[in-house]
Amino acid sequence: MEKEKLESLLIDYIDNRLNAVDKHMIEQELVRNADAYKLYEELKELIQVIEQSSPMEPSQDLKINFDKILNEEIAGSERSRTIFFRPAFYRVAAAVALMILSGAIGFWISNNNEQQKRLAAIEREMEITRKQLADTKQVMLGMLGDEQSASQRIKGVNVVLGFSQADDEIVAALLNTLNSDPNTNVRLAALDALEKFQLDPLVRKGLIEALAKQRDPMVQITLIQLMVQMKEKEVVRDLQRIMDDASTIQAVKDEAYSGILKLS
Amino acid sequence: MKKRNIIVALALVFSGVTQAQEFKIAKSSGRLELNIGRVTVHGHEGNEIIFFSNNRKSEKDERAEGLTAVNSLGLVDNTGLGINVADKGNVIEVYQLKKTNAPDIKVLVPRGVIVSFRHESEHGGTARFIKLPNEIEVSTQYNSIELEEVTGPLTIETTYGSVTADFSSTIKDPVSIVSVYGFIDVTLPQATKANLKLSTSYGDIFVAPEFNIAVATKDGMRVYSDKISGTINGGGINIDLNCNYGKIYLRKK
Repeated sequence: MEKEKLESLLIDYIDNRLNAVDKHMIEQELVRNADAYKLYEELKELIQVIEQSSPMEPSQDLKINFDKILNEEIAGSERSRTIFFRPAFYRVAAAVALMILSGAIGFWISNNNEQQKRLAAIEREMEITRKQLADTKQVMLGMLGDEQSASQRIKGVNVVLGFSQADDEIVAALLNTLNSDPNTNVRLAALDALEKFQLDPLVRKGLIEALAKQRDPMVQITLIQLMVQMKEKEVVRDLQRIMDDASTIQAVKDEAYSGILKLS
Repeated sequence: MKKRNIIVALALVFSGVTQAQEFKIAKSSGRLELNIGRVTVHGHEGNEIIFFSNNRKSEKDERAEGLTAVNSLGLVDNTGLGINVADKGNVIEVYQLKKTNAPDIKVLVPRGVIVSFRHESEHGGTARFIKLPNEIEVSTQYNSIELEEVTGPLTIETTYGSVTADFSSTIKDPVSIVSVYGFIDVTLPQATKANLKLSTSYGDIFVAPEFNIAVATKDGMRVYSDKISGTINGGGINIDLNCNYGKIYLRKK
């Protein structure tokens, strides 16, 4: 018989698992066949070794370590378990609330960024406008200083008429023009511009002082009319002085007289 | 300073010609300041300022041969026209010698010269500016002022005189005319684009009906005052007419 079949039968024989018939057959074979008997001896030896070897056991240390790790794991999972709501409804509500909250926070952050960007853009525009205003002011002051041409000086004053407010430098330039420009038309234009800013206390003060200094009839008349319109009672004394001054022309004296009447 | 005198002999030969003498000075920019009693100024295309005298009295005093006329201010007649012309660099100053006797002078002025006329006494006559596209500055007490075919820029001021101005089709910014007692009569081309400021304290303001003045409003309200502040044809150059007692006439052409 083949070797494999013989092997398996022999193993069963060694294990005493064969029935009587097969047992008998095997024993006969063993007696007759020297090779078979040799094989039987080998197998028997092998099986004995297998049975004698002790089962592999993990070392005691390993067991202790493993137990420790296992306990830790269990404890950890027990801890995370505390934020784990039992009823499913609360879990869902918490998730939804968290989503809404993070959505709101994100929106708020992006809004803030938008505002910052817009603020920065506005500041940049303001800077440009400030510079343009400064340039216009320089041009205007240059025109006001033109000694050759009275028309240029009037143009300079007309530039100020376009401003919505006048800073101290411009007011000083206008008052200077009002008081000392050699051309009457330029002074009247400066007076026109100052009238626009009459609420500025510096302008009011300057106009009152100008009234005392002016000798130009048309400017005196216009100034008196402006003071009356502004209800500036402080100038009544100046008006009296104008009336008493022999060098003022009649038209100015009449205007001063009517001014005193209106202001008293 | 160049000084070219047309010889009186020539003038006598060409007797009957009213413009007897002339005085030229080369100048095509800067200012011409006329401090004389009356004048007629024309514009011309040359580059010299030319002074003429319209006085009939063109005969030269032979007794004064070799002498020069002077006045109390130390000014000498260096033109033969009764005026002193001094070149002060950028400015040409013209003064008349006699206080109460204003010579009748006509001046031709190149385009680029600013013309200025000042006179404060009552011994004078009308100042006329004809076909003069230059910048004109006038300040007088008694003289009346006439302007014809001018363009501006104008700054005109008079206490007792009146101002009559007829503008040509182009007008240059700004135009400012001020008068205390006299009237202001201005003729503008109908299509002029201007910012108007018309004010009179005691007079009236008359405007040609073809001008639609768009009156300035503030918050939808108009100021009730003696000053009309508005624009015609959309606005543009600044025209400022200011009277105290006088009236304002604004005509179209």
